[in-house]
Amino acid sequence: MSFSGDPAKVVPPSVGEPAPELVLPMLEGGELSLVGARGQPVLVSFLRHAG
Amino acid sequence: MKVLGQKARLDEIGAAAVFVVFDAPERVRGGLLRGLDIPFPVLVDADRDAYRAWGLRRSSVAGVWLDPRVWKRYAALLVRGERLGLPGTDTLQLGGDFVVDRDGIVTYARPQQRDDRPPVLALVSELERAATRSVPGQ
Repeated sequence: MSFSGDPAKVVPPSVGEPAPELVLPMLEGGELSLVGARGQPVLVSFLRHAG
Repeated sequence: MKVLGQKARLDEIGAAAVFVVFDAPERVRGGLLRGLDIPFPVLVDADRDAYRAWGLRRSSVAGVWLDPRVWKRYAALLVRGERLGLPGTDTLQLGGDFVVDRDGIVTYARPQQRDDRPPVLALVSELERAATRSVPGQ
C-alpha cells in the first residue's frame, strides 16, 4: 500500500485538487492503483462497515 | 451499492468505479458483499490508511446509533442473513464518495458526515460531467 501526501492530513480532498494516491490490494487478488485508471473518470467509493 | 446497477451506463460514458472497504476480506465476502456479483474492483484497506489519507473520519457513537437510517440499513443486512455484532469491525468509521477526472483531479467530493450517501444518479451525473470535460491540448 502507498499513499501520497501528508499522512496526518485529515481534510478530504476538495474539488479541483489532485486526488490522493490510492494503491491497495484487491479483494480478489492483485493490486490496483488509481494512477493506473488515468484517462477515464473514476468513482472512488469508500464504504462503511454496512456499505 | 446501488451503483452496481449502473455498470452499463458507466461503460457507455467510459467511466470506472472502485469500492474501498476496511473489513477483513472474509468478513466482506460473508457480509457486505454476500450474494452480490460486483462488476467493479473492491479494494481492501485493512489499516485504513487510505480512509485517513482521503480525510474520512469516524463518527461518534450517538452520531451513528441514533440515526434511524443506520437501523434501517442493519435491518436490511439482517434480512440478507448477515450476523451482526461480530467483533473486529468498526461501526463508527464513515465513508465517502469522490469522482476523480481523467487527469487525477477531484471533481466531486462527498465525505460522509453521518450514515448518508448521495443518490446514485447524482454520482452517475458527476461521472458524465467528468467524462465530457475537455482535455487540455486536445
